Amino acid sequence: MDEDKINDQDFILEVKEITKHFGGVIALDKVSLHINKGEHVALVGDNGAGKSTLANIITGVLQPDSGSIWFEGREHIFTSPLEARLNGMETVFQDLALANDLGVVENIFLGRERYRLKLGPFSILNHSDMKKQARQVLEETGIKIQNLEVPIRNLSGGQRQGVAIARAASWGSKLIILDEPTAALGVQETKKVEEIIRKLKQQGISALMISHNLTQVFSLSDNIWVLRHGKMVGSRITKETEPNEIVSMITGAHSLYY
Amino acid sequence: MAVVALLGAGMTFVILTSGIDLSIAANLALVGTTIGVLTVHVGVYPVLGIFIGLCVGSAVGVFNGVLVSKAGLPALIVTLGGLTLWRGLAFQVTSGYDISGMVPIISFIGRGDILKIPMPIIIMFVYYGITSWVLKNTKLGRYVYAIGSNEEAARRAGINVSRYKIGVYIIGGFSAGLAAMVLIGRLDSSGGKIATGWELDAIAAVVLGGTSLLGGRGNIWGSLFGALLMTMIRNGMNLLGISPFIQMITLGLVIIGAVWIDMIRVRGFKRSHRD
Repeated sequence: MDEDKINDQDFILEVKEITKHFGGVIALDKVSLHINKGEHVALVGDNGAGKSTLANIITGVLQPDSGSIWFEGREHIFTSPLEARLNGMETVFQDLALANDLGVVENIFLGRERYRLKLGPFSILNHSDMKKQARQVLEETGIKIQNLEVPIRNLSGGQRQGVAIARAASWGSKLIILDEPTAALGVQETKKVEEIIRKLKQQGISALMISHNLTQVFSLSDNIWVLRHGKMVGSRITKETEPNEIVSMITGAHSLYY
Repeated sequence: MAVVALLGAGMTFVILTSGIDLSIAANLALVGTTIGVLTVHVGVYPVLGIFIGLCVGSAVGVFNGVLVSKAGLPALIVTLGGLTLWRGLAFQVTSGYDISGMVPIISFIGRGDILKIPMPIIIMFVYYGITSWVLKNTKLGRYVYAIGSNEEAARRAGINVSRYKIGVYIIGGFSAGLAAMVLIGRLDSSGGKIATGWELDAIAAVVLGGTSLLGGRGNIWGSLFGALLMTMIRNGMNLLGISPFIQMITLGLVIIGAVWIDMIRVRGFKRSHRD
């Protein structure tokens, strides 16, 4: 990989030689990765390979021991997911992080409500404006939900994941991190969520997807990066590789890929 | 009825965030004695006395809220301590004596009427109108539900959870202050033992009104209905000449039953949640 600074402008995200220790265990060893603007990238690897650790470092949940992260051409190591979010990097968590007793509109706008009048904690909510915008966002991301008023605990798993992704997309985000986006879903639901992720690409939103599901990875990503035992084994352009190659990279079956 | 309803309004906010305020009735007693001492013994201007009383109630709320949200103590324990702490303080202030003969404005709040409508009822409806509007239409209301529903999600969404938690305990304390004015006006007397045990009535009113003790679900008008139901049960049993001991037993069972029903409903939701 060419380390030239000029290339940075084409990357929405560039991770350079990140190292992370947990006590004596090296979770990540000089891991590098980059995502082009508008590109959908998959991060794969076996359990314990360090995928979640890397995602947590990128989104600011964890801090790296060494290395640097460049977001939109600027060096930026986030200290919290909130800071990452305010800078245009959204995470859709595995455990959804939605408020199940609130409706769809309430969840999409949670933490950044629209107001008629700003009065501190007593700011008056602009219900109609939020509803209108939520409809628009759901339409753009291709999520079909009849009744926006019902508490989202009454929605299906796929619909709730859809709401979580729509929320991420509607923050004006440039990069969305999807941590196992369909892990808890059935076949039909998974298809719907995959459709939603494709819509993100049409909108030009970059995505980093962590997934175990190779079929899904091959159908959704432009590039596949493989982690093994805390080291980045390499990356492949999805169109130019095949599942067998990726599997051997994940398992280390051929020393060729080191 | 109005007093329990007012306490219930404040309690609804606290319970919606999945907290609890067991100190609300003790806080009421403290505010009651504060207003009593200031206006009757010290002779401060009544409106100032009322204002200071409401400030004391809210300050107790700040105390609860800070210990719960900043120090991370369980709400149950903090407010259980407060239950004896504030009442003890109220007794200490008056050396255990009751103060009777309230100033006219307090008596008016407790026993007066406008167009034949008793003041406590007017205050109650106005307060419920305001609080229900706040819950439905303001940032505070929205975050109260969000925190009660999924505190972690609220935090990840960038909501300052501890600030809003302190806020709900302040609303609880303020409601106790308001209830105190109505009660001491009606009794024409204030002291450390007023409203003993009424925190349970308030909690029962909230739970009977359909608000979940686990937070996130419920609404304020339900609590008004719950307070009405509690009063009807009490008055009904009085009219039927049922012994006060049986009344205590019955109310205890009503509270346990209401919580049980709530838990069954929550389990039902969880089951449907799994798909």
